[in-house]
Amino acid sequence: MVEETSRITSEETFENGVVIYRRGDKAEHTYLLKEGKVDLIGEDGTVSRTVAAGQVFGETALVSMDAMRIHTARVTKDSKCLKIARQPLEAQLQNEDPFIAALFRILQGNMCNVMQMKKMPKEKMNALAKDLAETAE
Amino acid sequence: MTKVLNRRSFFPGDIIFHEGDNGSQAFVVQSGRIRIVKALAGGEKGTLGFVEPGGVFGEMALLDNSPRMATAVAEEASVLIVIPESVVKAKLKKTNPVIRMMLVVMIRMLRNISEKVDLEVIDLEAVAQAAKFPDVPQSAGEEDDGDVTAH
Repeated sequence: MVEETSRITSEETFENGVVIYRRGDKAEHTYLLKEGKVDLIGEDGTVSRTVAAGQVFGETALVSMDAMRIHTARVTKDSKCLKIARQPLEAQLQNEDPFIAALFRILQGNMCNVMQMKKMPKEKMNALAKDLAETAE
Repeated sequence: MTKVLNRRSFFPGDIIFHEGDNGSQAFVVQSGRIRIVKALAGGEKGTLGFVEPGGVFGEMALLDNSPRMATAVAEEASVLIVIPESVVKAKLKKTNPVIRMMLVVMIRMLRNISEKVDLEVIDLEAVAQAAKFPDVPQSAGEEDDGDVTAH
């Protein structure tokens, strides 16, 4: 199990100030921040979210092969990350219990749909929710 | 060793579980169709989707010990295969820890997104702990003001 995990993950350290990925880069890895702090910066240059130790970021890479980073990830305190590679993760999924693998796929699919929805502005989301409510009647 | 699968039948309109219930089982649709419904802001109900034969639902509550996030209603006469919690937990125990962690990550994101139309921050501090991932600290649980856009 340890060997399998070490194929899928690798540990990386980043110094304060380092940019882990930039907006527009291809989303290849998902990260678990073990120590330190990372700022996720949006298009307008403001900090969209600050990642604290124990949290995951860069999860777009998990869901979509062709996705581009929406945010720039910049380290604001010396950090240690667990970097998760998509291809080995997918390969490992083939070795897992079929129920677990199916579950993973379902959730990936749901995430994909939701991410597309998240690109919608708030007014449109509210209108959609209203439509859903009306349809359900 | 033969495994006996537990099956349950439902008539159209039967509720499999209510939003807010404590969940202890996952289901696979053997036949029929299940509508997943959620209460929206303002007290109205919206359909999140349908589960067709071969589809799994109800698994989210098992993985992160949260209450049911939606109501499942039989749209047509349906037969469901019941997957008990003990079975899911046993499977998870044998699952690669990174995969286990990413399952919980995805569930937490989906749960947060579906709960509010007004998108708010996702706090994933318990994720690594839930997956029992070695030597990852529990975060201090700081509040951040960012939105829930995937990064």
